Amino acid sequence: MRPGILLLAWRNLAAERVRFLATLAGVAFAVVLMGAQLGLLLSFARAASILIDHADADLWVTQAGTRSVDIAAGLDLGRRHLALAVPGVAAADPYMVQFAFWRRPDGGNESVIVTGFDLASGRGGPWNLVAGEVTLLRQPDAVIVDRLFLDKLGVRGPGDWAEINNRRARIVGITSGIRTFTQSPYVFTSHARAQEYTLFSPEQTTYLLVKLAPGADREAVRAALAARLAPAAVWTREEFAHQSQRYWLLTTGAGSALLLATLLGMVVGVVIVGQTLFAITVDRLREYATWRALGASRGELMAVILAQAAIAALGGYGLGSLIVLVLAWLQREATAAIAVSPAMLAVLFLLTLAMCFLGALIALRRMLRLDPCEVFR
Amino acid sequence: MSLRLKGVELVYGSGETAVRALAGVSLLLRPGELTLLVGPSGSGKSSLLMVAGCLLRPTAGEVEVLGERVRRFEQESLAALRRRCFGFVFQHYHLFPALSAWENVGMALWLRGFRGARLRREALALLDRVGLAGRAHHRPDQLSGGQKQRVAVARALAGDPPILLADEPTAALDGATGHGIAELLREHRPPGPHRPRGHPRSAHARRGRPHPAPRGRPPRGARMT
Repeated sequence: MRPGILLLAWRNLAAERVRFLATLAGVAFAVVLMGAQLGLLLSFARAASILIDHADADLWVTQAGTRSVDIAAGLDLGRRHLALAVPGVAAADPYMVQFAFWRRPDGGNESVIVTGFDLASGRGGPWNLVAGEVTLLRQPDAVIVDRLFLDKLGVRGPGDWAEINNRRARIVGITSGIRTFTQSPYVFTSHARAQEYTLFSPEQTTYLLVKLAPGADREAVRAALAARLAPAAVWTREEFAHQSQRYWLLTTGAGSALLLATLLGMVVGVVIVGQTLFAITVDRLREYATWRALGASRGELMAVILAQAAIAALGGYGLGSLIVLVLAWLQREATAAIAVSPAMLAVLFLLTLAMCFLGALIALRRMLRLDPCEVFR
Repeated sequence: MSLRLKGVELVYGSGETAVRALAGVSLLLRPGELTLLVGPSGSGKSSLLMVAGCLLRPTAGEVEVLGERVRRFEQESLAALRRRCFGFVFQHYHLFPALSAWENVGMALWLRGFRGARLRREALALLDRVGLAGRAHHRPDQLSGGQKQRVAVARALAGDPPILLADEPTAALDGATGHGIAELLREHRPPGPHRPRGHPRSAHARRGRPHPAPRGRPPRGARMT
């Protein structure tokens, strides 16, 4: 490395090996704290809209006032025919989502979310099947559950029996990785059986999943549906997914708690980086004053501090994000997983940079007050 | 092209606690001159050097560096002027301890626009000029006091600044080593006003016709040719 700001920054840090390693460990710790919270937040957000994201519907027709996909009011099934009459609508399939009680074979009760879909179209059905097939749901009392919740539901796999609201349920398939925000497992079954399990009448459903005809204008169809089906609400897939995420993350306080924990992780990092950079700067004041006497500008002196902060950020982020990836891998079979995505890692990096630059503020302030005459005293 | 001080006054503090460090000092230093300033502790030598080196703005009077009046210069303009015109040698070297000898010199060269291979070549050449070619990759803690001061001299000479200011450059060294540094400064004086300031009893002060500096008022026209 040639002489210049980066060399000076790196050597100043490297010369204080123990202090620098402690800083890297501190930044990495803060990155893990922030990463774990952001990962949980992302995981919960995904879970909150997982049914919507996988339902292959362009528009969702819901009862007015619906705020989350998991909590739905009844919708008159007769509206399906009105929807199908709207130009541009290729399909309008009924879809049931409703809480129910699952009675374990050993006698205990658990809360589940019964999810009933139209077997003919398959829209809204389960995905990531690792055992059984969707077509097996045509059999009497057949249901499909996720393997993440087998213990919770007190079953081991296909062939086991349980009860939903005092009606028999037989497991015919297992999915993988279908998490829920509420920790009440989704139980997939046919729409007709879901009506029975949840005590809905045959003329009732909770949603209509609308698929557009090729070339149809989504906004135009949506407006026509809203006019035809009023007072029912019509959402685009993205709107309803966002609404469901917002409902669970904000109204339950889960999102705020996770964001607060992220902020606390950031504060830890700011304190650690601030303490280190200030100490290293104070130790070098005479040398910086010499450099200032030789003609270095304030900007160049500040650049040294910021470069040190950036080096601490890069090193700490590299180490911390690696630990987050390992944690996410270890948690892959847990019902509350740490999700990792390129966007989340990018946000984590920006937060780390911001954290280290905030930590550098005290050192920068001291540097701005640097008097080159100190070298004569 | 010269360094000129005219009626310079410098007052530290205000009110009853005010201390007048310089009172109406006028100096003219011409290119190629080597000037020594001597005086007892507290007589204002460092203050004069700080004002002459544009590190401190005088309370009154005028400082003119190579034809530029600096009275109205902001701090950043003064820094830019120092970068362009001055090399400094300090009593306690003030080298970056984490950088090797050539890198310390290189930092000064970097400020003066040197980059890449040219910077390295020039830094090594400067260390060679001060007799430290074999110590280029040593850090300050691996050098003796005299060697550190030689690195500081090489750093001051980086980019051939027209004015070289030295603040008691031999005071922290033993007699023989101090003599060597004084000779070095004499040999490598830049093609401009050249002004090491020495302790009255230092080797180079004895050899260089020092001018006494009474408290707050150095002798008028204190220059040597």
